[in-house]
Amino acid sequence: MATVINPGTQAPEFTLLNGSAKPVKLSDYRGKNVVLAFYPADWSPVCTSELALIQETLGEIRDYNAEVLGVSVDNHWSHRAWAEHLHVTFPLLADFWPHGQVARRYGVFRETDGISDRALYFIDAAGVIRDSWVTENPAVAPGLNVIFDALERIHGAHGKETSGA
Amino acid sequence: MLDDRIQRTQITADDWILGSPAAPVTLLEYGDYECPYCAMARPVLEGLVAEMPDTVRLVFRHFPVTTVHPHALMAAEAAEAAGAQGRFWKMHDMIFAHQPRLSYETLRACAVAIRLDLARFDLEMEAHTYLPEVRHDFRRGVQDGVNGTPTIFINRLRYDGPRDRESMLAAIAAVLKAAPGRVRVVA
Repeated sequence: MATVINPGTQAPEFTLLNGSAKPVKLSDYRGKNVVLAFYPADWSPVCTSELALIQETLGEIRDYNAEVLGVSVDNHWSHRAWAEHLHVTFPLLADFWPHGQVARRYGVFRETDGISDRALYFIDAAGVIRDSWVTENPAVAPGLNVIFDALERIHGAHGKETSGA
Repeated sequence: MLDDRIQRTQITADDWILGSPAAPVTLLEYGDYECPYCAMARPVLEGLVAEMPDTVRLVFRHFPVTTVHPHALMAAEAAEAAGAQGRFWKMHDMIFAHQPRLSYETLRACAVAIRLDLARFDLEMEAHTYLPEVRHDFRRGVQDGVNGTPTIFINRLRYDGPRDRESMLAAIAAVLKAAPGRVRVVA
């Protein structure tokens, strides 16, 4: 059972390689809201639709002064190939070695099978965790409204219309 | 914890509805014409309506995921263009039937096959007349918590289960049992 970090806590710092093997630090994003998206594995069908949906709404997400960072235990070579395949332009970070260390720090590593839960952390511009969403059924991806509801609470309804009827 | 299981938007007069408006069970699908899982779900969903016309209705809204499906948006506009000529569901079925190759030429051939006014079709496709409708559906999908394509809601509750006839019949029966109505489902 994952123990999710409580809202109001400073988000644990990390440095991970992106798909171009460049180190990315969470604190590089201070001043921006961050959607930290843990997912079980590159190349699996559900993750494909989850990240494709995030990519599809990336413009609207950025309207909330937010950036998305995807994290899985795959290595940076896999991330690179997969990002190209999916046309994903936001960074996919390799929590590969020490294996799953960042997922562990965020309470979403699965000791049973060595991957992370599917989870979202919403971190504000000061680096504080404001909200989270986690499922332990890897077959079910988060609804897009989860992202926009959380960003709206952090940033106010300053984004362009994403939810108007 | 953030919740994403409930359909928030209402079914409105501008929605495409297959089946009886009075049916007590509404299946709302957010779909993408280039998504193979949507193509597989189509006969099941339409079959449920055909099987239980007084009980089940199907509502379809567009959710084109354009980064992975480069033709999905154009196909959605084409379905809307056909809808403006009173043939939405015919076009819907034609597009899914031609899914592997959804070029404009293919969509045009579909339009010919269902006897659309082709001059009007070309003109409206060129002008992207129905793009706002497609965008409107997409926004409603974000609001409702789409988590992939297809995303299906059964009476406003997101259905993440298998999309075969038996599983969906069971889910519909469970919905009807939870909200006792005037109908009976024989699975």
